[in-house]
Order: sequence, then structure tokens, then C-alpha cells
Amino acid sequence: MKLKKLVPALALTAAALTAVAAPALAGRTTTPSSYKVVAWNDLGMHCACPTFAGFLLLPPFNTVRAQVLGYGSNDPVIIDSTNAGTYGVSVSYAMADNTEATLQADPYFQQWITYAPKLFPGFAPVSGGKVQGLAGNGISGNMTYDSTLKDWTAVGIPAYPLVDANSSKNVMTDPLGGANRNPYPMTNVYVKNASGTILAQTSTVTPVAFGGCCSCHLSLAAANGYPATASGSFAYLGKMHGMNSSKIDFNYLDPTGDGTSGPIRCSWCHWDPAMGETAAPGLANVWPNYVIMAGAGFTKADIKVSQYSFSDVLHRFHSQSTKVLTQYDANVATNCYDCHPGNNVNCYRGSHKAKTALWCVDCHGNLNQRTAAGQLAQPWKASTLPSCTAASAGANPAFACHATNIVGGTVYPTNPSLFGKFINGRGHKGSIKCQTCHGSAHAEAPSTMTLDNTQLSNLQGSTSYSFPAGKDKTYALGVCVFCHPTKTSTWGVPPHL
Amino acid sequence: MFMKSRMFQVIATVVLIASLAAPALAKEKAKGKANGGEFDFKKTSQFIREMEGRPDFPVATVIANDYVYTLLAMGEKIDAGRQNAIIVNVKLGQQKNGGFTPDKTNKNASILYTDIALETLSLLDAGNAIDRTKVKSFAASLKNADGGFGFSQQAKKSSLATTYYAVHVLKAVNGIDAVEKAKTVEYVKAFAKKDGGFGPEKGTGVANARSTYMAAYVLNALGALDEATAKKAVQFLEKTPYLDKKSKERPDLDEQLYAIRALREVGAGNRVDKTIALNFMKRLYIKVNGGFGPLEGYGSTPDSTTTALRILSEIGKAKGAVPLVAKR
Repeated sequence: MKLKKLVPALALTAAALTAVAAPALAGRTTTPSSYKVVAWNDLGMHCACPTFAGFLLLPPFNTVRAQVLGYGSNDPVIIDSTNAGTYGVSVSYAMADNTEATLQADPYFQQWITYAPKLFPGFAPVSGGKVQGLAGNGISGNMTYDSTLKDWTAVGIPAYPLVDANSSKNVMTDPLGGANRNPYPMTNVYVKNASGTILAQTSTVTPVAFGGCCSCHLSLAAANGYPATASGSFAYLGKMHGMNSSKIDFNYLDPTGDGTSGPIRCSWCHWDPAMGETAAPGLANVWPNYVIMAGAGFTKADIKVSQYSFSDVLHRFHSQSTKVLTQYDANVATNCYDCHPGNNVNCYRGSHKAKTALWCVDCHGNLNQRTAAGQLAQPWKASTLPSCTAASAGANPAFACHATNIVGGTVYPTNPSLFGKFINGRGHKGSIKCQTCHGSAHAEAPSTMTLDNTQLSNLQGSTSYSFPAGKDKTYALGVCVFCHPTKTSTWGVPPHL
Repeated sequence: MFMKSRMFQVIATVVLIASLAAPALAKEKAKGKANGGEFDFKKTSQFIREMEGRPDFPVATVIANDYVYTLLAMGEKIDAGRQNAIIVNVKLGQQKNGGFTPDKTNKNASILYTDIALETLSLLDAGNAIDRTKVKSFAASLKNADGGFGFSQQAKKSSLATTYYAVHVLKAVNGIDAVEKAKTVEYVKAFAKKDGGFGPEKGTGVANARSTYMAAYVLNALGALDEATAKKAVQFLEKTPYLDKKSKERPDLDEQLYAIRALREVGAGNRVDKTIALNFMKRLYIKVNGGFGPLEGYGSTPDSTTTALRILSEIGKAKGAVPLVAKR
């Protein structure tokens, strides 16, 4: 009985191996016989605000990255901008759930369309009837090759949480009391030839959610005599800001000189690398004719570029404010979901979460530790981010990080530059991005969320692939034959260097 | 005759067994539905006990408190080894000035974490494991000229919340004599709002249940809660979603707890609407892991789960855990 089952299986495997191995055995071809593409979101989660009338924390801005492999020879060809031209292929993306119609009809996104030109002078959120993100990318288009980071990218696409027709996807609670939304829209990535024929395609989650800010700030506004609304919250925040050493109550700032206050962008004064900035531009450089409205307790001399990054002032204030600690959360230094998307979104959802009681602070440090270590003065820098082998400076992790140079029992030469930071790190002969195989940061494979695992399940879903006990197709890309036609179809841990 | 007698014996035996077994069966049934069957405390326990897997257990002052309160409130026992680890950890948080810090790596003591640490020790019947005299002097050192108390020796400004924590701590260590009663009462009364409750800020702004409870507690502790103030507080609480079924205000977990406590504090414990509270807890309960979220539609955290257990204890749906000092 067993033999009867085994024979067809062996025959199938042999046929499959022959089929996939043939091109390689024939020698390295000039043009790949086929292509494979793996895509991911750069951070595993982006925040975007539900309102934009008062001030901007974070805009719709999501980045999808992909690596494309030309398949056929034993060593696949990594497709970059040069050989893509040679082979006549292009890489493109199309958001699957966010559409022109739904985005432009969404009342929250409409606020973005209304106020974005004031927040980013010169930027048109809708051009030629089509929505575009801050970097000029719309809901579909070509990806460009990033020769520094060695991947194809679509920077700043306007992904936004949506009220999905499939209500089971609407897991995110709207802190403003609106309908629940889907914070995990998908984006398709294609490799096409010159005539537009799809040669390879995949889908990745493009996560974007509202944060938890409104959950506390609406009641904070009410407690201080302001309406428990987004605008009331902005108004009270402005007043609070005016009570700090800057004296600037931003309710009295009229950037455009049109006689109305706001909206303002925090990163005009507070340097914010999350916005792609290396320095704060300063209000006067963005809106030279800005006006300070009557009744303000400050003058133009007080409008300065802050020495503190936006990340610094935001995190430090919340962890040190006695009002926050005594009236809202005594444990705010470790309760990251107070502000980051935990409103049933649970942005930290990767394999780390599944395996242990490891929490954000084990890798990043709690807010007190981050402040003490000066992390927040240089946010988003490689020097302050955790890696696979070490937590951020100042963190006091309860769990051991991954060994520096031992993978699957094999000892490799120590070379931190090769096994360095995860998000833009590369390994496997220095050519494959960590996230190509492991998935997005915060959603590392296998993720606790099924949708994150869809791509790897498809890529490693061939029935000819086999997995050792305890592993399956949702694990990090590890079936050698997926990329190398003559190698094993059994999942394993590939060389990381 | 024999048959009749035999039948009588059988019936009598059955009745006797049934009557003897009834109380035990009823008790067993009641035990199985200790919380009405709405919540799977076994899962809740597993959720809270996840932190036992951390090498740095019990991690921090607040998290240790979550662990201790929640397990005890569900009627569980904490093994001696973990109790000891928690006591040692809490003790390490006491600074030279007598106050406690959020975790052992932090050196800035505050009245907030001192209060939390004291409750944790008290729940474990280890209140004497620390220097209580130094605790009193720390709390007293935060007293300001306005009658209020500050947060820490670095953040000296008074607030209603920090004054509450200071009075609470002082009462726990028999140090209420350190309070200048008249000044503190005057300070606290300035937080009263027109609607009858108390707010977190003086002047404009609205009242909330947390501040109403804190003010009532301080006034009670200082023997200054008058009937009119208590009555006004109830009038305010009647308009909150914790008593008013028609309220359109979105309920909040912390506020639900403080609404109950405020009612008890002003002598209106019989006004607590247990049904509203229970239904709210049902909406916050996360079946997947047994925890409770802070708001409807939010995921569970240890902190919010602990607050939910405090509420369930208040309404008799959990065993509850009584510290040897006043409740936090």
C-alpha cells in the first residue's frame, strides 16, 4: 500500500525535478526562462491619521519593496534596473483593496485631499483625477530600482485603512467611533515583459492603521473644557503646546495667511526622519507669509526649528508627563499599543510574538530606557534600531537575541555588516534582503496573522516541496529549489552569509 | 408488606442521598459559574501567566501588580517562589528617599509607583518587607504649600491625582497625620465642577469618575466628605454611562471602575448598576485569549485585564483580592 503511494509520488517528484532542473543543466541562459518575485512592506505597519484639519502626525504613506529573480540557472539572476532593461522586463504594483473610487469617497481620506496642499505646499494629492502619494506614486504604477538598497520600490503609496465589503476584514476599531476598517489592504506586484504579459506576480500586505492617540486625547480634551472631538482635541493640544517652553499655541498659527488657523505639520519644526527628512525645514521656509493670529502669546521670534526630533518630543513627553502617568496609564513606558496600532490591529504580530512572551520593549527598550540611552535623538537610524543579533542601545532584553554568526549549527565568520540590521539588511551572498525571505519587520514569518503568511504559503506551496517536522510553507523562504533549480526541494536554513 | 417496606427503604435512601448531596452539588454548580459563566477564567489565568515565561519576571512595578491582583482575584494561588521573586523585585524598587520606581532600572521614585508597590506587597501580606517609615517621609516630602502633593521630588507640582496617591499611601502607612487637613481639603474641593463631580483640572473642564472617586477618597480619609458633596457626586455619576443606560458617551474601562468606587466612597454603593458593568465587561472580553481590552474593539493587555478583574470583583463576579491597605 505504501509502495503504491510512493511510486507515483516519486515519479511526480522526478518529473518536477527534471522540469525545474532542465534549464539549469542546460547551462546559464542569457535570458532567464522565468521570473520570481517576492514583495513586502518596509516596516510591517504604517500609521495614518483619520483627520488632517488640525495638524499632521502621519500621512497616508506606505512603501512596498520587492526583489525579482531571474530563474533558470543554478544561480538565479537578481533583476536590477540594468538587466531588467536588457531582458525587457518591468516591475509594477497595483493596490488590490484601495481603489480610486473608494479612496476619493472616503470622508477621512477626503480630509487628506483637502488639507494636504497646505501641509505639503506644491503637492497635489489628486492629479489628473488620480490619487497620488507624497512621493508621486499612486495606487498603481511602476516600481523603481533602488540601487543602494538593492530592491524594487514603490515609495509612499497612499494606502489607507478601508471599510471593506468583506466585513470580516474590518478588524480595526475607529477611535473616532466610525465604522470598523480593514487595516491590512493588499498590494499586487507584477513582473511583466515589454508587451505587458505577466511573467511573475505576488501579493503582499500593505498594513496601515489609525493609532490610539484619539482614545485618550478625546477625553483629555473634554476634561479640560474642549469638545470631545478631533478638532477639540487639536485645540487643546495647541494650548498645551503653548504652555511648554516654546510658548507656541499652534491654534494661533495661520500658515497660508488665509485667515484660518492650521493645519500644521509637526515636522516643520521637529525633525522627522519618518517623513524622509534629514532636517526640519522651519515654518518660514515652508510658508514665508505665515501669520500669527490675534491673541497669540508668542511672536515670530519664538518660531524656531526645534533641536528635538518629533519622535523625541512625542515619546519623551508621554513617558514623563505626570498627567499621562496618573490619569491615563501608569505603564505607558511599556504599553506601546496606547499609541501604536493596537486597536485590534495588533501590529506586532510576527513569529517573535508567537514563540515567547517577548514584547516590543525587549528589542527597542521601554520609553524610559530609550530616552536615557539617547535613542530618540536619532530615531530611525541604524544605530538606534535593533537587529537580529542585538537589541537597541539602552534596552534590557529579557531574551537572548539570535547568535551573531551561527545559523543552523554552521559557524560563519563574524561580519556584522552582512548580518546587520534587519529592515534593509542583506544576507545570502550579500544579495538577498532579509525581508525577502523572512517577511516584514513586526510580521516575521510565520506571522500570527494568516494574511501575512499568504505570500510564503503560495511561494512554497508546491506539493513537491517537503518540510521537516515543526516547519511548513509559512516559514521563512527556505526551499532551495525555489531559487536554485538543481538544489533540494526540502526546506532548510540557507546560508545567511 | 415486604415489597412496600422495601420500596419505602429505597425511596427513603434516595431522598436521604439527594438531600445530603444537594448542598454539595449546588456549591459545585455555583463554583463552576462563579462569574456567571460569562468568562473563562482558566484562559484569563493563562493570559496573565504568560509573563511567567519572561526571564525578568515580574518585569516592573505595574506588571507585578497586574499579576498578583488578577490571579488572587480569580481565586488562584501564587507559588512561594514567584511570591518571593515579586517581593524582592518590589523591594529593589524602593529608593533611599523611601519612594518606589516604575522598575528596578529607574532611580526616580514617585508617589504613583509607591502606591502600586504598597498594594502589591499588601496583597502578598508582605507589607512589612519594606521600610514603611521611609515611605511616610517620602510621601510627606511631596507636600506643597497649596495643600496638594506632587508626583515626585523632580515633578513637584500638585494635582488632584498625585494628592490622592499621597493620601492613599500615607493612610496605608499610618501617616495621615502628615497631611495638613484644612489646606488639603480646600485644595481638593477646588476641583469640583458645576455638574457635581470632580475633574482632573481646576477651572473649566468636565468631571470624570476617576477624579470624583479620588476627591471623595481624600475627603473621606480626612473626615471632610459632607453630605451635600456626596449627593452632588451621585447626581454627576447618574449621568455617566455607568448608571445611565441611555447615555451616548462611550464607556471606558477605567472610568467604569472609578464610577463604582466613587459610588461606594460617597456611601451610595447600592446605586452601582451591576448589570451595566457586567455587560460592559462582556463586550471587552476577548474570548481568544481570556483577556480584556481597555475599550470596545481593542485587544487585551495585562493592565486592562487587571482593571476588568477589579470591576468584576466589585460587582461580585470574581472572588476579589483584598489588600491589607486601602484599595488602589
